[in-house]
Amino acid sequence: MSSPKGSEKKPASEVRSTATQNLKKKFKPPKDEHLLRKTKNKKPNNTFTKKAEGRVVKRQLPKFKSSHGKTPNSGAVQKFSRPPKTGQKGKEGAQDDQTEEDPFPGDAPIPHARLQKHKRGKAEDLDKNGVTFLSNRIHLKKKEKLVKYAVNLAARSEILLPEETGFLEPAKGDCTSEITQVQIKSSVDITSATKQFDLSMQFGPYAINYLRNGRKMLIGGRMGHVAAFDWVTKQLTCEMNVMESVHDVAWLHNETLFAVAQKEWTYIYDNQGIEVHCIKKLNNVLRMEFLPYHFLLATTNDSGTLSWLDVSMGKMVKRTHTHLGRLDVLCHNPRNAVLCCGHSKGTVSMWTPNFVSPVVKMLCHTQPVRSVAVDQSGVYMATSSIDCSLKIWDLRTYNCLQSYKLGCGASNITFSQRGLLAVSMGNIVEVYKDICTETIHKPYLKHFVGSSVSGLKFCPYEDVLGVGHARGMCSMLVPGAGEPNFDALESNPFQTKSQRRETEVKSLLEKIQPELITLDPFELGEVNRQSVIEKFEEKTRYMV
Amino acid sequence: MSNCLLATLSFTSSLLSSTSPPTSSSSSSSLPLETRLSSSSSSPSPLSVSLSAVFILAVSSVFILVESSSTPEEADGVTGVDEPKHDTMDQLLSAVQIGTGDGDSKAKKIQVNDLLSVIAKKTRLGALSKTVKQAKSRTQTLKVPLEKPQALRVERAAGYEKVKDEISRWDDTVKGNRNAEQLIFPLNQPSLKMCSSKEFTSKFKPKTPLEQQISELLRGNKNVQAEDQELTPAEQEALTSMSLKEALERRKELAKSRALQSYQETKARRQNKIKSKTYHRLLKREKMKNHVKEFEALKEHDPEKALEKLEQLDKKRIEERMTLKHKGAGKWAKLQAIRSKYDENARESLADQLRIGKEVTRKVKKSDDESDEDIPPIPLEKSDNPWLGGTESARPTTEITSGYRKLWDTVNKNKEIKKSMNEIPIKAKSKPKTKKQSVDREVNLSDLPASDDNESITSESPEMQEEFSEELNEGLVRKSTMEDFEQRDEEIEIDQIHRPKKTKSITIEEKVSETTKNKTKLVTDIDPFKFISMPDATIINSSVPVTEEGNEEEDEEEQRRMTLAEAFADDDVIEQFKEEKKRVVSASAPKDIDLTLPGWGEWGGSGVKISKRKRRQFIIKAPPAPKRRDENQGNLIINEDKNTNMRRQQVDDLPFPFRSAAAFETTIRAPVTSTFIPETAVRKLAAPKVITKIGTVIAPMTDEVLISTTNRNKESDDKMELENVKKSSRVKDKKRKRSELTATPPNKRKVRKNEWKITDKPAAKSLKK
Repeated sequence: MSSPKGSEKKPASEVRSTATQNLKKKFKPPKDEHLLRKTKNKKPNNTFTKKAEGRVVKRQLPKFKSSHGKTPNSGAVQKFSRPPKTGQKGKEGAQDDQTEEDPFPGDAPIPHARLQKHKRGKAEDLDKNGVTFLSNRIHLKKKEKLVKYAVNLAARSEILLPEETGFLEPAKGDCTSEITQVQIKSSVDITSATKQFDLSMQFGPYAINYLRNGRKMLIGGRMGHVAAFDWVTKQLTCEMNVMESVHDVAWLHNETLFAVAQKEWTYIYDNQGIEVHCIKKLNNVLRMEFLPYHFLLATTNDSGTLSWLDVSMGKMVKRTHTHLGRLDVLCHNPRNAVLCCGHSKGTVSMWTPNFVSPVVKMLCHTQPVRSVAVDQSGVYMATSSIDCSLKIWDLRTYNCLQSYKLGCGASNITFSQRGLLAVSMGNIVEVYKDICTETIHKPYLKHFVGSSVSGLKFCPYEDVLGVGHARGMCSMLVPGAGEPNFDALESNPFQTKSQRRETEVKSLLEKIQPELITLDPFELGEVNRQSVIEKFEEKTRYMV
Repeated sequence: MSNCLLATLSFTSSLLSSTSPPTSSSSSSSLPLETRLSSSSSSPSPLSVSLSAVFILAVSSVFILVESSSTPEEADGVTGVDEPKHDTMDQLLSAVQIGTGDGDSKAKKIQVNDLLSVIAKKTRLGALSKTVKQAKSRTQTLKVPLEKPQALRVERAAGYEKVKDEISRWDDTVKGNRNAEQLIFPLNQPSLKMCSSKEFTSKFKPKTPLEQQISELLRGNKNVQAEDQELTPAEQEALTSMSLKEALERRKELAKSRALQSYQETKARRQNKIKSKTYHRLLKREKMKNHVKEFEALKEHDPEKALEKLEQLDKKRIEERMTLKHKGAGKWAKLQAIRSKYDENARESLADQLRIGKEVTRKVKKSDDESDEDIPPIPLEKSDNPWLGGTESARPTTEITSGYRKLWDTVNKNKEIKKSMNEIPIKAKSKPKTKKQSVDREVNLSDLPASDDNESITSESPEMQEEFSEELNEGLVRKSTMEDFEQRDEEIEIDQIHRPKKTKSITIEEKVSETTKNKTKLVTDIDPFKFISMPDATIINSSVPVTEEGNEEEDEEEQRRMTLAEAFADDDVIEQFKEEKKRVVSASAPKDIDLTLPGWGEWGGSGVKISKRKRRQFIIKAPPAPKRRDENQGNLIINEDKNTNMRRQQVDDLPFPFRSAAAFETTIRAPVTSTFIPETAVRKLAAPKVITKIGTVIAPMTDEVLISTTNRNKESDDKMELENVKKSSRVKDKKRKRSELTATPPNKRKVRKNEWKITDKPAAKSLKK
């Protein structure tokens, strides 16, 4: 259970365990590996010494020694590690002794891609024109070196991640889409097999939501059935019927609170199902999204109003009337917390609480948009329309990368943590792999559910896809969907109660203010140039 | 007397300096004579060596001598004065007293000569008079002392220099402290460095006589083995002495070879100097002949080497093709061209050159190995067309290489035969289509392109085919060994892994293309996006949902959606979006300011148009709108308004050491917390600049620090330092060289103190994904 991948075994006949193979494929020695080495070799001792009043303050960056690599200085160690000499070797032996070199000199190379992942960009303008005084420049340059060191260290420490991702890999002539859930279930271990289950319920199409650490699940039936439970152990936290239509459900920052969008107003319940709040400002809500870093509950309603509610203070941050009609398509970009809404005119609009108009509006389809999803990195956006089209967009350039035709218009789409795209069409759920980067022709997995799908969510940190449909819900196994390595400080599936409390406090302290929601999250790190110029001009005016 | 005078001189000088500044005449009441005298001379500085000073001293000394007689304790230094000299002193004194006694000094001024005249009488004081005379001849006046403020200024300047010098000794220390990453106070802590055992033993020095004796014995002896070496020096010597004969032999050999070399060199030099063209031509021809002979010989004995040779020749040809040697572009060729009008030889040689050039640059048909196999050789010679009948120009080259070609052919044939032998059993064993590839891989691919199919084999020349068929027959009879089998299997496996299965992919593609054909016909309802660049829609083999009888509601909903889609299909969504974009763009663009007033300067009223001139004059044109990000994307509207809320959160002034915004942005671009980077890096990045030890006195630095630094520099870390210095010097040298090479001087822009560099481009652009 520790990780989705590690615990799942695939059928030996059809599916080969792929983790190592994938790794092999992925880990191509980078092209500039030798370059890395070279640069390292140029400056083998990255020490910088400074004499400071009689005493040398010496800082030495720790060398990254590969386990096999030995530094030539450690002569004593080498001597011990060698077998004792037998007889007289003569001259040659002696020479050999001296000239024997480290076969892997310098630091062990870091794979290029991994290094690239942790890169922090280039330092600019740290010269005379940018910084006054030599000593400051020296300090900044030293800091730059440390930054580089930190990047290298971060890249290196990825080796400590215990789990690897892997997908189903078909045998020759087979394709993964033919593998059924039954087959997968039969071939995985018992713990993982329990993660595949169906719940048949009678309270109408279900909306579903997973907690951020992937441990708890919340379901809300249209006919008023609301239930929260630990979906792994199937332990019920609370269950009730609100005796009203339920449109959407959403967990708040942890498992103690959740929001339910009911017929008229939005209600907040605690983990015992006790109604904590009735938020009358959020009326006729259709879709809800919780922004975990901002503590904002973003909702859309049927009259086209978009609202952000700060759940830490209970304060309405912003209500925006979009004038774009009924808003029943909503998702949020995890990178910058911008909300994406789909509209009936084929457009997708992106909203922040800082503007009354959309920050970006793009025409994606010629017919109404039925669903929108943004991937974990915030780079790709998928949109689907009534006209059976599915498009992948690059959110850096806003260009269409891929355009697909499906058998039917996709009603729900969602991205997994590892970039799989799940699409529901009527009563079919299909999962696509590498859909953003490659043009694909076949789904990765396919599953028929009992009735038309109404809710679709991947479970974080698990290879599980939750599907809410008209007659209940079903949890299906999708190998390779979840992130295998979780950061326990970020979201911990095995959280204890005290840890939960601590995390709550910490996350509240680190809450990001709603003003900082922008399309470009790096904007905050920039200097307000306009004001700098103004101030400078004012100064010069007085000086003259 | 002279020595006594000297003594007094020193005494008086001290006295004078102690009593009062000689510049002030009023204060010197105790020395009236001197003051008088000083009034006569222009500059009375007692310390100057000028004449007047000497004189004054002399006089004053006399005066003091006189005084000293009355006060014996003062005249310690003048004890050597004789009694008989008293009378002269008296005279002198009297002369002086005459002067002093009178109130008006102008009337009876004492001249030097007066005094000298007294002295001149006494022959003993001749020397003094001489010196005075000498001094008189070099008369120089003392300069006027500086005014007080100026004098002080000079003094201060001098003082400043001195202090500066003193303080500059601290420069390195201060700089070092400033640039140090971390300072740990108190600074002069004892270093608690643990030295290794090796270091420790290296420091050991024998002290007691016994130790010394032993060490002498050990070090001086040749039979003691050193730590790193296998042999003792004595053993080594023995070893080297053993190979004396060999060394001699080697020396002989060397001498011989050297002599030979020099001989050859001189010979070559001599030959090189021969300018005769005919000689060289002959030489060349001979060389050519030799080459051919050699090649022929090689062909028979060692075909492999012959091939190599052939390749070399080919390479030479390629080189010649690459150069302009025979293209008539050289100096010589040009000269010959001029000369060729009159000189037949020149003409010939030029023609020769051109011919060679042509030969060399002609494209060689790749007939020998590749095309021969694919295309059956057309019997060109037999055809009636004279133009087709083998180009004449091609002859010479073919003549030259014909020998090689034959060789090539034979080699190739051999290879083919081998290949075919390998091929047959596979054919017999495995299915016909797939497995042949493995064998192809073994054979050089360039030799037989696309020989997968039977066609290529059939297209080969008839002789080859014959040979092949023979080999085929043979192969069928022959049995393959087990080893062969294994090898083949391996190869096949490798093939399967490496090569994508062609058949499969083809079928998939076919299917896809079929489906696309079918579906594209159906899906042509969308108005093409004229202004949006869209990739062509790919059809995913997705299944169409199976509708159930049970949930009619869902069906109905679907139905509703479909009808909706139909309803929306007529809407021109694109047009609407275009209009919206136009609206947004125009709203965001700066607008002209209209300052026209109706009726001002012309007739007003309804229906009166404002004149053009007025409009031109009073409408302030807006600057052109800045470039929008979504300019080239028709399907996109990006809100370009500034986020005022965000601006409030940004840094609105450049902090101290920064001159440019980009520099500041780079310094805050990388995170320092453990959320993003490993703990070790965090500790380094967040290390405090100053660490103080609790409970210790942090005393100010003393001069000892300077001394100790130098000492420490000398003593410790000498190796490391030396290495570092060497490296740095090397780097510096390199840099210097580089800078010398680059002619343009580095761009040195003077930066004023209050200057900021403000760029519109944010620094962290590279960060943005």
